Amino acid sequence: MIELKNTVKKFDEYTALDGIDLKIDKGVAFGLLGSNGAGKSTILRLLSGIYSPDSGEVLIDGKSVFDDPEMKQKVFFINDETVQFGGFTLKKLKDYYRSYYPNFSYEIFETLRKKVDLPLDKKINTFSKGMKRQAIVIIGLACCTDYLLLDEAFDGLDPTMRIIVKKMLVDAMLDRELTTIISSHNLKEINEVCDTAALIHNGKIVFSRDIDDVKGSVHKIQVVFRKDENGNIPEYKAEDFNSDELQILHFERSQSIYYIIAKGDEDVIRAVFGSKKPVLLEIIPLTLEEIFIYELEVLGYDSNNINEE
Amino acid sequence: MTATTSTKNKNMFAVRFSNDLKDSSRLFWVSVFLNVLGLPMGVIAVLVESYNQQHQIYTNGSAAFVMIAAIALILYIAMGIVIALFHFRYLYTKSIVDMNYSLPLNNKQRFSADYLSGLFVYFVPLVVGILLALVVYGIGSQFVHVIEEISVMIPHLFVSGFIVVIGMLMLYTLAVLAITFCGSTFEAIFSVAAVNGIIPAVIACIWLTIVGNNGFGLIDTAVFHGNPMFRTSPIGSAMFFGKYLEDGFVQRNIYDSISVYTPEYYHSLYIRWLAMALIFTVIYLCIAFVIYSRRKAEDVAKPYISKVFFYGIMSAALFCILSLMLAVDGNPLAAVIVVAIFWFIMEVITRRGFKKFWTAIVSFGITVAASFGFIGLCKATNGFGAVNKIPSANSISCVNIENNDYYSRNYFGSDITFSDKEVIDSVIALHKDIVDHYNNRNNYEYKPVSGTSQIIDQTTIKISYCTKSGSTIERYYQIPSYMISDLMLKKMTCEENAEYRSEQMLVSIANTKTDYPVSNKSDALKYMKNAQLLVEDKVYSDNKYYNITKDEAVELSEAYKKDLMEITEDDLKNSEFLGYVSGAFVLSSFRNTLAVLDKMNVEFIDFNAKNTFDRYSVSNVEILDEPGIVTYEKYFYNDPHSSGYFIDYGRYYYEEDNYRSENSVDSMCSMSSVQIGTRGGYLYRLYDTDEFKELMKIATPIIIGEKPIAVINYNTFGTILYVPDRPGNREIFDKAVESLDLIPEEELVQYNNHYGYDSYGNPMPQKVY
Repeated sequence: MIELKNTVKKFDEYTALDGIDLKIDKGVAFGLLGSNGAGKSTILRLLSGIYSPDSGEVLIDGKSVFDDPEMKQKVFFINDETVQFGGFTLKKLKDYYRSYYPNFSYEIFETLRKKVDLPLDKKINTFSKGMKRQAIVIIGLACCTDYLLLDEAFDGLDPTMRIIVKKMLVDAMLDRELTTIISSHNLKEINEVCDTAALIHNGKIVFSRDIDDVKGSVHKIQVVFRKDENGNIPEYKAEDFNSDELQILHFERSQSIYYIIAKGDEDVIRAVFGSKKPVLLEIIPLTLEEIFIYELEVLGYDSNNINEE
Repeated sequence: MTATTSTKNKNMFAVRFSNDLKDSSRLFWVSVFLNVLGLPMGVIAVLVESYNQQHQIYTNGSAAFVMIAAIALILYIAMGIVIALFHFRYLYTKSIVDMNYSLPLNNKQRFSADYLSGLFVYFVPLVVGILLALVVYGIGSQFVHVIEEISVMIPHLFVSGFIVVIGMLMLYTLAVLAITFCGSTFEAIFSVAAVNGIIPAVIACIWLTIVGNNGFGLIDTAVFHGNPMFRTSPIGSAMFFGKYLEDGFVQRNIYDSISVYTPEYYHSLYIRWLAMALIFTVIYLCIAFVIYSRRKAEDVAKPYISKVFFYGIMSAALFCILSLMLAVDGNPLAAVIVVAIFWFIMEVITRRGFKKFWTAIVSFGITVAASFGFIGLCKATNGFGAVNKIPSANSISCVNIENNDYYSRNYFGSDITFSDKEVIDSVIALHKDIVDHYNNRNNYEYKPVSGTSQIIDQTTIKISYCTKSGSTIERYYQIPSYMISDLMLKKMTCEENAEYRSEQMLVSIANTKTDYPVSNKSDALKYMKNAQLLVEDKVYSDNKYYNITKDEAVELSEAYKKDLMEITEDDLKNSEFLGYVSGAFVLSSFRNTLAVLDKMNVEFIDFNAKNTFDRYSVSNVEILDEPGIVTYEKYFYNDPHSSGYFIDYGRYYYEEDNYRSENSVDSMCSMSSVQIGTRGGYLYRLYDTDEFKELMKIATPIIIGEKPIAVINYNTFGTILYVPDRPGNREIFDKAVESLDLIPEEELVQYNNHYGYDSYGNPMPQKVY
């Protein structure tokens, strides 16, 4: 299990993580979502022992990972760069990591390598971007660590490559209870691969839940209200519907139709809006991307605000 | 496939070490290549040179090999920096930070593996080069007879080589240290150069500041052969290597006055240097590890991780520039402007702009104030007590005394190292006396010079103490020669002096007939076949050669040594000065020498004015009757100009009258006297009169601790003879003078400076009858 307890990480005067608490169970596929500069990569680097926290704790299986070779052997970190491997051939890279990770499986390596047909003796800097990414994912999986951390792992991959890499990860997770933490802006992939996710913004956790729970708790509502006696469409505001059980994330009207994003139980939504006797009430499930956008909008991270600035 | 918890207990240090070696294999082979070109090429050069000498081929055949070897070795030594930069590149290259820090290693394993693998890559090729060089030498020496001078020095070269090895180790370690507090490639390279340069620069500039500000007796160049310089940096190691190598050659060469060490001290110096240099290297390594452990992965690409080190280097560089500017120009404002430009440029670069620039201004102000404060403190404390520092006799292993002498020609008061206790005590007593004259000027009487007949008397002395702790303390003074009288007596009567001078005599004899010039006793004995003995009169106006055998030469030098060991103060003062034998003076008390000379039918030459006149067209002699001995008070002031380096903020001592005033003293020591000139003598026509011959018998070049009643100046031969104040000498002198004719004044204008003018260019006054 991974735990971050009141973890603070600063870079000079900039606070990247502001006292976050996070728990990730073993064997899950965990997605880290967040705006640019939210702190996702920082968390991954803390978990892989690259950074040390300024305060708080970063624990893997109850032990601090920083400067501890034994704990670090349980973790493999794949960052979003590939230039550091440029001078290696795949064979050399395999030998390099095999020396550090005692559980390295040559069988897994060969099986995966043959699947994607990567050459052994060519320098990695001659590979395409996708091939480089594949190469390091194969290495990461072959190291057979308990935890695999991927930072923007799918960036730059074509759709077919993405499917292949995702399949590799899923197979490994199923085979040996690999715990995977993926940080990505591609919420579709997080949606497909991960079962749990956390949204981070300005160094704080916005939520950390099962993805289905997240999707199940945020809804898109399209509603048309009945005209009043004068033939006018009623003017409602978000505050008219906010309550303890229902949080309005986004409230917009276009002519007669209200477009609302709300967090709450579906039954509560029906009850609240139904009380206004709408002509039309549709509850539409949101994609993770839409949830991401609307959640951050509430926190002020809004494309309209940025344009105004 | 399931992941299992590892039960293997891997040695991660070993894993990292072997991966580093694989990673830097190219650097390893480059180092091997440079070493193959280095030492083995040097050996080939020696073999080629030996072959050429053997077959009398006079071309520069070995020059190309020497050049290749030198360039290759210099490049190889510089590889220490390249290897350090390569092995620790993740400290300043952002793209590989994650890869290195995420590996299952802790700081200690990572640092030690990277450091030691770098050492392996650096030094193993050297072993390859040495082995190859030995093989080449072994094979080559079977076919070529290696020049003896080189073959004899090979063990010394080998021992000296360890100095280079330790210097390389220090270079590599300092490079690692510099890299640990940098965050970018430019800073890493700059810092490596800065750290290597700043250490010797600061040491040199601190010393030069001390010397230039109230540095009475201190020698500016002493810093370049002192332990702080030698032991603390690779540049210092290179200086020590050069000095050690040179001294090793010089140990066999008595004519070269650079070596100040006895063989025992010389070897102990080496051991001490090795130990201290290693200690400093370990200190640098520990500091590097401490900084390494404290730095964070995210520090890469940040300007200078350790502000302490950054500002330490900057402050040191500022101090060096400031002190040198003050030395060159003496204008504080110009110096401050120059260092300000340097400081603020560096601040802008490291801050990546002008962020919080007021702190840069504050730090600049503090550093400049501290530098000026240090300089002021140097002045106020007489160089932090360096001026007054006189070691105790118990702490001294040996002392080298070097003083100029008008008669030296390498025979009188030259450059010898003494471990004789009496000599050491005498040196310390002289040193105390000099320092006391400096500190307590008011306690000493400075009498004005009276009379027109004067000897301008000045001597210089350089004292080099070699202490038991391995340091060398050097001082240089200008003093009146009488102060050195006691020391000179102690020098002349000790065994080391006897050994040195008898060797000088033998070498001088040997060089009259050898095919190659020899410079030490063993070479003289080896190469001398027959020889010639040169006998000269006391004014060098007449000479004669005698053919002698090698055995006779050896016998003579041994007899001379015996006489010198038995010499007494009374002998030096009262014996008749007979003349010179192959450059060595002979007194009438030297019975062993005289016995051998007698056996060889060698006779001394009596002074003969006619011979002098006929052979050299010399017809005049300058005579000074009851001359005053003139010295200067300025010897005991700190004259910045005498050190030739620093100017004390524009204040010039010599403008003060006291500083320039002449002082009359009552005795002198001609064996350590640099005669500037004479004043107020009278020029006489030189006749071969019996009275004058009688005078020349009692006149002597040696006068110690007394004042002569008269001086005879043979300018043509650069010889001065003194008439000591003994019973009967006054009458002999007066009669001699009466027997000569004073040259009329109108004739003086026809002569050049030597004959018609005194040493100040004034027409020489003549007697008025």
